[in-house]
Amino acid sequence: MASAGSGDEKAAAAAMITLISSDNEKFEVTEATATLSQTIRHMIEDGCTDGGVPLPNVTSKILARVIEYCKKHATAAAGEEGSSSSFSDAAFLEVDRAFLEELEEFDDAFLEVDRATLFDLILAANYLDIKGLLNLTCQKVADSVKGKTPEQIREMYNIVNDLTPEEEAEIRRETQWAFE
Amino acid sequence: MAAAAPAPALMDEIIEEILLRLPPSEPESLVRAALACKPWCRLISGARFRRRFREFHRTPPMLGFICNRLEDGSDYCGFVAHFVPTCSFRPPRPHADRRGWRAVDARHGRVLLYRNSALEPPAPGLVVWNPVTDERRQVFSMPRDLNEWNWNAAVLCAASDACDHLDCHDGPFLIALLDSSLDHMTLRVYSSEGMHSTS
Repeated sequence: MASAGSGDEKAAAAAMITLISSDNEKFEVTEATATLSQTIRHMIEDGCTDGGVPLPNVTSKILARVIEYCKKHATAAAGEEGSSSSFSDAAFLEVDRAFLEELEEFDDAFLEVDRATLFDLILAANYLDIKGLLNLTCQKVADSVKGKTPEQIREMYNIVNDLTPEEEAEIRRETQWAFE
Repeated sequence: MAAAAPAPALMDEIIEEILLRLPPSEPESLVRAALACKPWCRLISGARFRRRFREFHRTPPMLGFICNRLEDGSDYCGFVAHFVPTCSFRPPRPHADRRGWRAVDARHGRVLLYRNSALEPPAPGLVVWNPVTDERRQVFSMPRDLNEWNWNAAVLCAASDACDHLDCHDGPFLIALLDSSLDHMTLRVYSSEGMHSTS
């Protein structure tokens, strides 16, 4: 045990957690990846992850995507911690910038999914309490709402218009500028 | 194909998270979304959402600026406080409604308008105008001994020192009015709460 300190750290970093999807598929992930989810982080802290973490609200298809996101962003978080002590070094800044750009490209590609998948990802991010993923997916939906007419928004999101014609006319009259 | 699968319903709290992310610089997006259905309309027009929207985006958007224009053919006090938009937003009432009024100051969503008492119809001095709702609050008469040619005024938030000014435009405010002559200066402070003044 000559290098006990670093050995322990490595062991901790490599600690594996098993996540079980609603359709009973098992996913082995590192603790660093899993703890991007606050929900799972709390379960680990409470010591109730032995035998796997059942996630009855998340299908294997969606869980696989969520894990893909967490893996990428856990690496990013680790990279940030590693470079923070030498942030004055221009070379490190350059590496950081390149990595951030790569992360942005990853996020853009990650969001290239149909609306049903996007909504499932939002629900999973909300349930698992993964702030970055919730922000990313909600922003994607907001961007698609932006610039649309009320009719287009209703059609896109299967919304039944329950405003009376009078109510609608009144709001339109008060905010005419929004429709010009 | 997954594309054929119907999108799952989202809970109200998630709808709120999505609508919070609409861009403040494009205020028409919020209005249009509010017209989608009653629940969205209630959500967007609620105090809680408005507060969160401001907190989420921090820097308020620039909706426009006020330009005091002299009306053609009018004398020195024939100003119109023109709202010059820099985005889609327009105030509820047209410029003509502010004929004779001149903007003196603007801060945290309030615009301080002044009207010369010589104008017809006579209206007393200072008004605090909210250009978004068109609400006008607390008309202050100008002091009789005011030096008409040498004064200035500012409108200030009167909430606690801890106010972040994101949602205080309906709250209490102060108006500081400073006038000077050759041998003295007078500072008067009016409060929207007590209407008291100090000199």
